[in-house]
Amino acid sequence: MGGWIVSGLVYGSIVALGALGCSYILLIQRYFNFTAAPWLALGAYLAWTMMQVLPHWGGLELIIAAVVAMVALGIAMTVADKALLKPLRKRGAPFMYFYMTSFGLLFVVRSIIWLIWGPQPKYYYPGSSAGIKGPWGIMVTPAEILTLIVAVVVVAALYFFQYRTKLGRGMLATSQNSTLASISGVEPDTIHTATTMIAGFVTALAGILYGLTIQIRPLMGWYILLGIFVAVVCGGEGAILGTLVAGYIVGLAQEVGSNLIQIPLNFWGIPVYMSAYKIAISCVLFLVVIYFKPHGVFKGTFLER
Amino acid sequence: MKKEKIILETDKITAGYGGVDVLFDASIKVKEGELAAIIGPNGAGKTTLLRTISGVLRPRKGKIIFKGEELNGKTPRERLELGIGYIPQEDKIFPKMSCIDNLRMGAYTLPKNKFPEMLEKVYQLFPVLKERRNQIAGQFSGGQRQMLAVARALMVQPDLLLLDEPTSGLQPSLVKEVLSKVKDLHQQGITILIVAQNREALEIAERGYLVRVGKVVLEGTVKGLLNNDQVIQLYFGG
Repeated sequence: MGGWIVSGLVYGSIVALGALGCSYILLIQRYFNFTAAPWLALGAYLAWTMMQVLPHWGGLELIIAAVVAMVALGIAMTVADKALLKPLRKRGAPFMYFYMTSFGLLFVVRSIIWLIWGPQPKYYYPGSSAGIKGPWGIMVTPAEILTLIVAVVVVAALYFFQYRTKLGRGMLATSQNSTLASISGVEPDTIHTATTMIAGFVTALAGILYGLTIQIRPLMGWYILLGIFVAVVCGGEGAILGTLVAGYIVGLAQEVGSNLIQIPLNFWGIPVYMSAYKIAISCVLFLVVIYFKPHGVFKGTFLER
Repeated sequence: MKKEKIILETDKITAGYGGVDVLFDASIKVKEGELAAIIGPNGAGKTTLLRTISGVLRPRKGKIIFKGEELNGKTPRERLELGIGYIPQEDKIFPKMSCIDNLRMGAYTLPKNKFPEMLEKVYQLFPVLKERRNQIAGQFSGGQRQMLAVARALMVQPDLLLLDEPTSGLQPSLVKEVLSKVKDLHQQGITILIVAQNREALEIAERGYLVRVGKVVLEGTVKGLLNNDQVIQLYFGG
């Protein structure tokens, strides 16, 4: 049980980081960014390529590779936004156009990844790393501990940025009333650039941590996308703290939920393996949330921020 | 005596939304230090005119000149920095932000160290905002929202204030209060262009323009306007 909870929290941290990227884009640009799936994978692959170039410096190489990949993905997402979505915004296109564009771009980025890196899974550090034994049968790898810490630190940093800096406040203002924001002197272009850059940073980070704790493969983002979707809806758009908690909920529901359901299945000898249906649990969670709490689970609480 | 310098001039502005024009060849002039009004029935294009001046909407034809400088092609921010403040009729606050964060947004273009000084100034003008500085603006009453909206625009000390129907939806006692604040601001030397929805709002002005179906049809002193048949018809029906 303890082990399930830890892996749930780890997976949840990755989901939360991916969800934060989508949440930012939803908040400012008013569409759900499906392209987050291959962007996440691209971030992981960019870091992997950096790692091949860098010598081993006892972990420092991972940090450098991660930073480079984050910035590179931020730039890539910003360029894609300026080239494809800015013209739509300028003409006041209906929201459906944004969804279709991000859906189309999903396949483009995905194919590019496939072309460059091929279908074989890759690892930052080949060979299994030793787990650290804890109480209650918990086994954690250093990568998992790193993931848990990084998610919390990133959320704290984003929270500070959002509510204590001018640019963050400008983003909030734009999301609440874009006309009033622009006549207050907020420049929409700056806000859109900042949004896609931040989304790029956290999306790449999610991909790298996924690659570090599981593996890097072309479809990694595709499998986590539904979890991200649920966390965004659950957390409420633009809710930084809420999205982290929602990510944990998704991770725990998938890991603990699938294992708990497995127990009676094993007992009755039903040959169904829940590990293959983890995403289905996210899906059920999504339906429940959208039915009872369409504006997010944390509406009206401090987690709404 | 008032100076006779023109601070704002719109020259034959034609503008609209999605290919449909709602304003045709609108030309108005606002003198420095004056309190000018735009009146007209609903849908006449009054708000559209203010939106083109503030830069939210690009005119299809025509020129806007502010302090001798042509505004066409300038962003809302650049116009704000030149000294144009705009208070829209609707959605004039950030509803999910606290009162003080709304004011921080008003001071967005200011250097950080100027904020406390300006904050003190607007608190003096609207003490209720100081009392409620940490309250979420969405919970404010209509009158408080209007005061917050004015205070937000005043944070950068604009030379020209565009006010779109500041009294709409307010109860009569608040209408008087808001209009007396507008008059105070005018006396402090701010040039004001107000869209006046009711007679009281027109009466505080010095000069006015009547807009009908997208055209400026009448211009004159407020006294003259108040005796004009078209204006009487506008405010008293018939």
